[in-house]
Amino acid sequence: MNERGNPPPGRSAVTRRTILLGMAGLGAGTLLSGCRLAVAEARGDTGAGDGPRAGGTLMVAVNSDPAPAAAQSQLTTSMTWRRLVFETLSSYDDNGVPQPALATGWELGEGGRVVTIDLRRDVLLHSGRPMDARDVMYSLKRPAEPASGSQVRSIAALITDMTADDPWTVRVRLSRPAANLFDLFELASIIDHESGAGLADGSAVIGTGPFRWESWVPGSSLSMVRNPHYRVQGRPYLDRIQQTTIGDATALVTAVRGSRAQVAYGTAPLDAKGLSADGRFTVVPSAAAAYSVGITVTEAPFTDVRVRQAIGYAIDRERINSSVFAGYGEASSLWWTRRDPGWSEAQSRAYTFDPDRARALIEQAGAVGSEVVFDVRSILAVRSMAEIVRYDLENVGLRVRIQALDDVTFNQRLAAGKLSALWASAFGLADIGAVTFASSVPAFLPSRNASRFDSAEYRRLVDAALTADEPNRASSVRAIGSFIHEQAFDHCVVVAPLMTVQSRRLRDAGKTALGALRLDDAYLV
Amino acid sequence: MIGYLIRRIPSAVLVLFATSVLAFVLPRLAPGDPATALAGPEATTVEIDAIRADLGLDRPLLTQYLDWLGHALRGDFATSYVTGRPVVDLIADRAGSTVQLAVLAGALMVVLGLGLGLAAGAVGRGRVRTGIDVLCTVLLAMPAFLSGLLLVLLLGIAVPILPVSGEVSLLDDPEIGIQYLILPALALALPQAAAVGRLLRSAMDQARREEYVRTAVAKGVPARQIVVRHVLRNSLSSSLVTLGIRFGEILGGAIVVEAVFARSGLGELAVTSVYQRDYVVLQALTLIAVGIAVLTQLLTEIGLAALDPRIRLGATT
Repeated sequence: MNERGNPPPGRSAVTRRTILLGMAGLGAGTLLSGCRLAVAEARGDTGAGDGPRAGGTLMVAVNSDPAPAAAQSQLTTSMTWRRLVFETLSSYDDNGVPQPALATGWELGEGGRVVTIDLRRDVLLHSGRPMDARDVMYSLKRPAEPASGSQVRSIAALITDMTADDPWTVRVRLSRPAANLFDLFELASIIDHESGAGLADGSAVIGTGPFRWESWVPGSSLSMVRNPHYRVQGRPYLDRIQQTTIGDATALVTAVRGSRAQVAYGTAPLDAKGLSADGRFTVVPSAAAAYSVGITVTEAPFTDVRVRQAIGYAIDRERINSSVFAGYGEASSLWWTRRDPGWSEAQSRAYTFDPDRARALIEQAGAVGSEVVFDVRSILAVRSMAEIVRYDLENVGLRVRIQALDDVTFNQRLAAGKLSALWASAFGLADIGAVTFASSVPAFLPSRNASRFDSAEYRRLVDAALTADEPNRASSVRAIGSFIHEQAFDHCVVVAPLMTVQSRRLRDAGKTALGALRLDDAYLV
Repeated sequence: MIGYLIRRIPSAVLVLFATSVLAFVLPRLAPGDPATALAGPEATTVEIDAIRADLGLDRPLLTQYLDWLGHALRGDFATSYVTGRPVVDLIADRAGSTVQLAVLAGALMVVLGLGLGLAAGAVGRGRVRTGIDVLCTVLLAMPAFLSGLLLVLLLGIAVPILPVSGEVSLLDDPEIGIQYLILPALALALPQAAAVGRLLRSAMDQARREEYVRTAVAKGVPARQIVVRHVLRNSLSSSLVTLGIRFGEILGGAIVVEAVFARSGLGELAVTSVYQRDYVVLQALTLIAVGIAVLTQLLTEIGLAALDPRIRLGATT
């Protein structure tokens, strides 16, 4: 080898370096050809879809860590497993009519103060023990405990007494008739009374659903396996469901695009819109949430009802729906969905975009140039909505300063009624109906709400709706909607669903009326 | 040496004690608490207060601190307020993921950093040198989350040859596990490797101008031998010092990269605990992180003292 690195004359051009590189390349090639590829394993087998097929593991990526204690709550921390592990006494059909599930029937007596529930006799808990009245009584009482975090706690708190005539008959006595009783039945998952304490740390999560809770690594993953003793013969088809918690919105989309998961639950609407053009996926709406702007009526300039009403006219709801929710939501002045019998088209359009009218109202109230602090819950969609709302309000003469608050801080101030003059939030109870909504969400409570709105008339209207019989239920709900619109202490902006992106390999996946994932009939192809 | 070590122990204990106080107090200065997080968005103040009492968060702060410290000294870091699981278990579940990521990223940083530095420093000027300089500048300007997203788009979506989401432990399945690790480790290592490479190249440039290198050139020592034996060897010390600092930055960057690649590591646990006000998890993570730093510092000082008698002697006077 000379100084330039060339081989001397007469020597081969194949140097030691060339040989070593060649051997390394050959070795790497051999290694790779015999190597299992993670991307191939994650993608799994694909096949033609000619009817249900048993077996397989469904991979689900979810944006919130499961919280076993939330087994009876309408929260993103329970939506993806609540109806898989547990069942309820009844479940609403598409028309909002309760249908028997674990109960075979019920009878109301004493003007709705006593409910007699007949239970199925063929239901086994995951522990192997037959479900009986003790489990039902425990499960109907549990939502009243603060630690349950259940939104139907006010209904459960009406229960004054429960007795079991026999193992399959429960008699429930209420302090007053409850128009929203079936919201309790819909949300109160039936839990094994012997191991209910295990919900706190996920050590025992025992229900009667099609899948058995196998293991949970907080913040990471949840495994559920097929319940071989499920009451419906031949169901479920899937052997196992593996849920992975992915909090980052981009990573959630990446998981489904990269075939790590067949379902991405809680995808950002704009991401879902992007994936909807990809033939491998379908976009499915899930539980609905009401995105709203709340107003503290004791803070200037909102002591004047005209300024509060002006907010309603100033907001361009359609723009927010298209820009933030990719058109998946519905611009609406009502916080509940069409499922509620009291929903009305006219009320949902009570406030439409009319900046001239908003400007005029603010001028009449002498509030032009008023500076207001706008507390915003730190959720991507809410933050995006708040930016547009701020622009709209400044356009009609107010000066707005946004203050982003993380979830815990926001919730604490919401509960304590210590939010600023304006606030933006989302309430995940839009599907559950107006009566439970108005009696459970702190922003709407008639007794002590976050808006500090105190009115005997509002209390009367909510009480009337809570105790209304079936024929009067719709009108009582409309009366609440009309009154809130008039007093304008809160403005609904958009009712939008959580978005789920599903691989087309997953067939016949369903959801409950409240949007909880339902996979009894689901299978993979 | 033992005497030297013993004299270092009080300051280490003081640092850990101060950390325990700060780790206890700071999270509690933020609005809200675990009771609010547990109660959910529709809770009233009465319900939040009831949960607070159940968790023992209504007790005096000093009582809570002493109670926690007493248990921590026995290795019991309490039970997470939010998940109800022992904190030690939560950390143990996540530690493996972060350690595997950090170790591979560290190894890649060393190999790529030294490789880039050597390649650039070995040639005086030219297109190779310019190309490496440009590459290092681009990588240096690129935060870990951006390099991560670019790798996801390139090798996960456009040419899907490596998984871009999730993880499999190397201990469970090394063959698959390493594939899940490559992209996040590369995303973490590239910016740090560029910094190490740039530093090594500068040190080599400086070493080239030293008298002993000119003497070697004048004596006719082959160029390759000059680079390896004289220039590189005398330039490595500064790079080795910076590797330790850069490794710390890798651990910091792991929080972001874990989010991008949906890995459940300690960074993700820390972020979630902040959002949920899970005080005891944060306290344990802070104390453990500072404990590791103190231990590393002690080991470094011991190493330096062993190598340099002046430090030992200086310490005794």
